[in-house]
Amino acid sequence: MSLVKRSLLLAVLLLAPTTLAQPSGELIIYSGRSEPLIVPVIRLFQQQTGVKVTLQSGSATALANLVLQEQPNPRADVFIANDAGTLEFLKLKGALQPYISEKTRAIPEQFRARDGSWLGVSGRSRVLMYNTKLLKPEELPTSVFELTDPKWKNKIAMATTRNESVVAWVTALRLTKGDEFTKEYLFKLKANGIVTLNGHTDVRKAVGRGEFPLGLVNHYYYHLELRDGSPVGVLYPDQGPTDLGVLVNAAGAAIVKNAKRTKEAQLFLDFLASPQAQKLFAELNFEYPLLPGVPTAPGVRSLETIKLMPVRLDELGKELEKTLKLLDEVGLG
Amino acid sequence: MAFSQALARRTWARWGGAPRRALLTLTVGSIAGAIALPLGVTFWYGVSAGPALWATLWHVRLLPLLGNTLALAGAVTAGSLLLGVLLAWLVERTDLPGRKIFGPLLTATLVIPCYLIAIWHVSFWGPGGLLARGLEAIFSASVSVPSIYGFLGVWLILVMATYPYVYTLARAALRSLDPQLEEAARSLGARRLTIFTRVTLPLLAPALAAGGLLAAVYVLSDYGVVAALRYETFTTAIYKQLTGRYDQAPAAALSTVLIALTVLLLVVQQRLWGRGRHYYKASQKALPLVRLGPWKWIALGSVGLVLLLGLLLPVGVSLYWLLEGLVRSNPSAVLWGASFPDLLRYAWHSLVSAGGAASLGLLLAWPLAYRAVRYGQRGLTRLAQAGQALPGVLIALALAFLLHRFVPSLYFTVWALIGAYIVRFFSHALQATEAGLARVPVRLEEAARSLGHPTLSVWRRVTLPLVAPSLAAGWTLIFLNALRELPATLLLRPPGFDTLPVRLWIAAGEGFYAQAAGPALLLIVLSLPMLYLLRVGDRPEVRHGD
Repeated sequence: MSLVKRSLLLAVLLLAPTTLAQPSGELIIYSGRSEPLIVPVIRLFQQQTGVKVTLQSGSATALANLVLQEQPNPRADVFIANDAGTLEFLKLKGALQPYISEKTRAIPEQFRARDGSWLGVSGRSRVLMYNTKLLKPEELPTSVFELTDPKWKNKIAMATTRNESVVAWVTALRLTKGDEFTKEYLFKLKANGIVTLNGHTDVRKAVGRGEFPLGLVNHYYYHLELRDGSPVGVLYPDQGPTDLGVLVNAAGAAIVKNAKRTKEAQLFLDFLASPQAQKLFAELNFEYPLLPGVPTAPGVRSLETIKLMPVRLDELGKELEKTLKLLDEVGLG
Repeated sequence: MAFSQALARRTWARWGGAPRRALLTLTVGSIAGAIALPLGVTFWYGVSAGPALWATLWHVRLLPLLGNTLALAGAVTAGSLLLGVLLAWLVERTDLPGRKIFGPLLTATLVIPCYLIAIWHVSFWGPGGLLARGLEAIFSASVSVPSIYGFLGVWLILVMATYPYVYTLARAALRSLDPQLEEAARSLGARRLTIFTRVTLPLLAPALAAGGLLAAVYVLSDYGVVAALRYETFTTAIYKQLTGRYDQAPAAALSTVLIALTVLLLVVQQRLWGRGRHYYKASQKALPLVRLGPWKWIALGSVGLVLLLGLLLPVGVSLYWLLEGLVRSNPSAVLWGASFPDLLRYAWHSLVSAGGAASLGLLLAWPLAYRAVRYGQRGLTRLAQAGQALPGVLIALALAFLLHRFVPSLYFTVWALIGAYIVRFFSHALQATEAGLARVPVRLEEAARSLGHPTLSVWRRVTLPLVAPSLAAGWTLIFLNALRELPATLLLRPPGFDTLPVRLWIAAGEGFYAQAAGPALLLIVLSLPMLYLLRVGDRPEVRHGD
């Protein structure tokens, strides 16, 4: 090869990355949700509107951090989180841009930010799932506080405490039971050999395969595992008259402040609140649709029949940093 | 005018080209500084974390993490030393049938990225995996398979991933042994075991120490295997901290400890490397091969087992999943972008970032290598090798921190990714370029110049052709390493820029093995040039020049 050719090749190799630097004219979405749970919705949006979407999937906290760091010149237009606390946290840090329209207003008030900074799109409750081959219904606990009992030693799986749904649950415990109690409880869970896995998909599969009899998950992971044909059951804990109830959290979306493609972003939020999108969340993912009138998937217990924890979603955001600090002090993986 | 020209000429004569050298030093200094910066920044960031944070970490995290990490590093090192030496001995010194074929084949496991070995072993041995399914189909009842997760599984996979380091070095050392030493021992009445422990082993020791330390450093930097097999070491803890918390000071503090551990091992390694015993190999006669007799079958069995676990099983399992994905067309295949054009796009992203890193890396390494070889000044070169002490997770942490502070326009771009690869694999670029330049006699360049060739022509016609083979080898090495890099890519890739490793990792993480198989196999195919490099390394005389 001649030197000219060689240097041309070198130039091509060096310059090629610049041509790929940034897609333009596309809606860029950072999504902290597990990819298979959000991709069908985004595909439908692309089909209906013709807007091209670039999706960056990852941990919601890592992407939220990125949204904060990229201000005032953000790359992402829309941020999707699996937890209302994370969205509210970004709102408090001033990284979101309010948007209220007729369509988003159709979502009940308790599931969106008061000023329209974020929009809850699907609901989930914190439940226990179990392997029906390993546990009989009469052996089941009735409260999450029974999980510190030695009889559950090394038998429970949960998602890592870097998972936002877990963090929100711990925040809710702090808000209802106090910091000391919560810390003590988590220490006891740790001492009882609770295993933290990489994410909820890992937990549901591990319980489905019988590696663990019990798993702490969001309710739809039980339904997803059941759909995969595993012998699993679900348990809504703390439902007695004097009990605490379960936490209901919302996954949601927000428009990033200073976003370059605000119009498309607004279109996307409107779409998320539309009956078609809500139906997808309900039927594919077994989540609670938050738009009134859209039915839950068959077999999913409706929100009205469940006793809920008295925690407001915006409080999850205010208390986020304190919870993270507490979790680091416990060191629960 | 005339005066100033004369002055200039005199100055030039007096300084004898010193300005050029000063310029070179400046260039070299800035490149080395830029490469070493991430290490320094992470270290400083961690050290400057408040005492309260350190106290919390000490109470809650550090001891278990140190225990986990060191136990694993120790056990893997011991395992790969044993396995590597055993295999090298079998191939070099016994009448093992097929040893000519097994010799190079036993290094071929390096073609498969070790997180892939881990993923496919999980999908095979893991609960509800292929083995359990197969057994259930045969016995029509569920049979319990021992768990692959945890220490033992990680240990097994990492030994599979690291034994080639020991094996290659031990083989080269065994070949260069002087047979007369062992013969002398035998003639003095020493038994075989005594000869091995008193003569052979001490002679192999430097190679073993070097290989073992390589394995240990590898364990410290590995993310994929430990993450896939649910074992917590510093890298996974740092990754979790980075992706699950807003405050990154704890991640930096943990990184500081990891850097200290790695640097310690690397320093020991450098010391040992220089300590090889040099002696004159008087006899070229080959030693008689040890007859294995009935042990032959056990030896063959163990070699077969290693190849099965490290090579055949991973490739076979990925082929199985690929076929299953093709036969049972799954709606999620569409969802996962497992279509052929998508696959090509991921491959293109991989090729561009890895190729860019290899080219730029060599370009940046040139002045450093030049200064080191021609002027014997290696201080700054050492500094630039700091990157190899940084696991991918840490490079991502450091680059994110630096770029966000100082060059936000590069944050989360392809350039950041390429930068991460360069920092991580710069030592390969340096070694290759240095080795190449060392083969160019300065006299040859001077001769060409004295014959009236201008500098550029000398470079083109004398220097480059001589350096080119080393550069090509270095390029390939960086390219292949960057191609399979996982943790830094996961953390730094720009939106819409998924590479093959990223895709297969995310798909496998969700349990969609059929969708991970395509990118995995493509990655293995693209890694095949590694085999050529390994063959070159197989003959030490080629690697070390004449």
